[in-house]
Amino acid sequence: MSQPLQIQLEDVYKSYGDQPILQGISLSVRRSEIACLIGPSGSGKSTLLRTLNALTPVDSGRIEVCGIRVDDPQLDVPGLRRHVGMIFQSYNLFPHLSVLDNITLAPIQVLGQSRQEAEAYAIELLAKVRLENKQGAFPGQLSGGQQQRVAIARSLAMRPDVMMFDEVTAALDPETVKEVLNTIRDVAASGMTCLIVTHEMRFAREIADTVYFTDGGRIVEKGDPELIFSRPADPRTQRFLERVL
Amino acid sequence: MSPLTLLSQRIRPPLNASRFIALGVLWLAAGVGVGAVAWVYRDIIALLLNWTPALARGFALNILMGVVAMLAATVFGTLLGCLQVSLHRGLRQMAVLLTQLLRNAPWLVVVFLVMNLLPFEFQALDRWWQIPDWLKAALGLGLAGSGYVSEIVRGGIRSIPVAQWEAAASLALPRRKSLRLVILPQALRSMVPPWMSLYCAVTMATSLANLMGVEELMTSLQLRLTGQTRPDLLLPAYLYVFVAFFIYIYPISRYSRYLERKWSLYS
Repeated sequence: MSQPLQIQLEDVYKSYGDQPILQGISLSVRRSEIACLIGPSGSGKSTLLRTLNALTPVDSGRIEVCGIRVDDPQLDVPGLRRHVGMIFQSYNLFPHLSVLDNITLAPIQVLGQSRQEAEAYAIELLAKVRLENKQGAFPGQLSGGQQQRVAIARSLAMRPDVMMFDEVTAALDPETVKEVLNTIRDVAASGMTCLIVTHEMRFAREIADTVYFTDGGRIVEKGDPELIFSRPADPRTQRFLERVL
Repeated sequence: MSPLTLLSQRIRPPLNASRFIALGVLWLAAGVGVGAVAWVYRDIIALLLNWTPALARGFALNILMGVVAMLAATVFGTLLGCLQVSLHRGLRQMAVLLTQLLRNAPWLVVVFLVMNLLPFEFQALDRWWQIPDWLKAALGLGLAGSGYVSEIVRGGIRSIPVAQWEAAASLALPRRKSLRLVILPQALRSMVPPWMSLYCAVTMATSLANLMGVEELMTSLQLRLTGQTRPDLLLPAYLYVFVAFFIYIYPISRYSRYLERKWSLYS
């Protein structure tokens, strides 16, 4: 892969009080690469994602995303976040806005698009996530899987360079997990750089270019998914995979 | 029969004939009683009815003052409430301090302060404008009420999950736009019932303007009472004011409680 680096972390540390969360994380993702983070709960996967769009400030270390230094105290935070989309486990749609308004809010308010332009693109995106008939619906009227797909469309409407998925299927019914995973597959296939935290091991194995196994705030093992899943080197990875597979 | 149906029957027994008659007799007795009292005090009632058109103008001023005060309180209190959750430490502390000062001062004191702070007249657009006393009193009440609005707004903002802030932030919305477009519209629902209760309290407090000589309901009543020198008039006259406020305020306060119940059930 000769694509330029789009995400770079070097020796990143973060703790809450005396509770260490990230203990020297280094990681790099190239453009169009699909990186999956797996590992036990509380191993720092979600915090790692949140440091990349400055939702969580780090204690030390160097972070660069799309050429922007995230650890810079003078960071233009909204400027960074335009490049980085984030999807949450609990969807976090705006319940007082219709599906269409959820998607067009940021393009109109942040990118300065006209309503017409923003709505045209929103409708296009809704078709991509197969929800073209839900424009006028409110989040409360949608199933979890539908809400999560709207959240993905909402994030894509900002035309980000990187998409981060934080355990986005963890709150879903088993039968709706599939439709959301399919949507992520489409996003990944479009050449988007993706950073995916997931507990869906089969999905990670299938979609990832690189898999990272984290435990105790460190990256224990990284590599090709086939290698990690069939012949994990570290005993911690072995134990974890034995338990979840 | 389950204990629940027993209980509900005890509260509302079936309406049989004898109960129906008993109720009728009760209402009749009450009607006769009220009629008798009205007959005894017929001249006082006639006098109060005679005054009613003039008193209604006074009461209209109470309502106008209440509306103006609430407008001022809403504008200033919303600003204060938003500043109370500001990330800027200095602004936040200032807003918290001001809110606490306003909330813990007697309304009458705040009204007197504002009455004396505002000039009698001011110059703008090449002429002098007078500030009428009723407006000064209303602005004073508005300032007093803004401390409460500030707390209502702060509580409303705090009631929205942090995840909504984070979702807005992840879409690159700056904090102020997140507050205005995402957080406040959702917080509105929890803010409306206490805001309506405050409106009731502010409207009732407009009768304090009596002490500044504003010709609202209490003042215009007292003006007429002094012309009569009849001590037996005092009690029914103040009862009249009591009833006037009650008729206006009670439906609003009932409606706000209804909204509170309804929205807490379906949220």
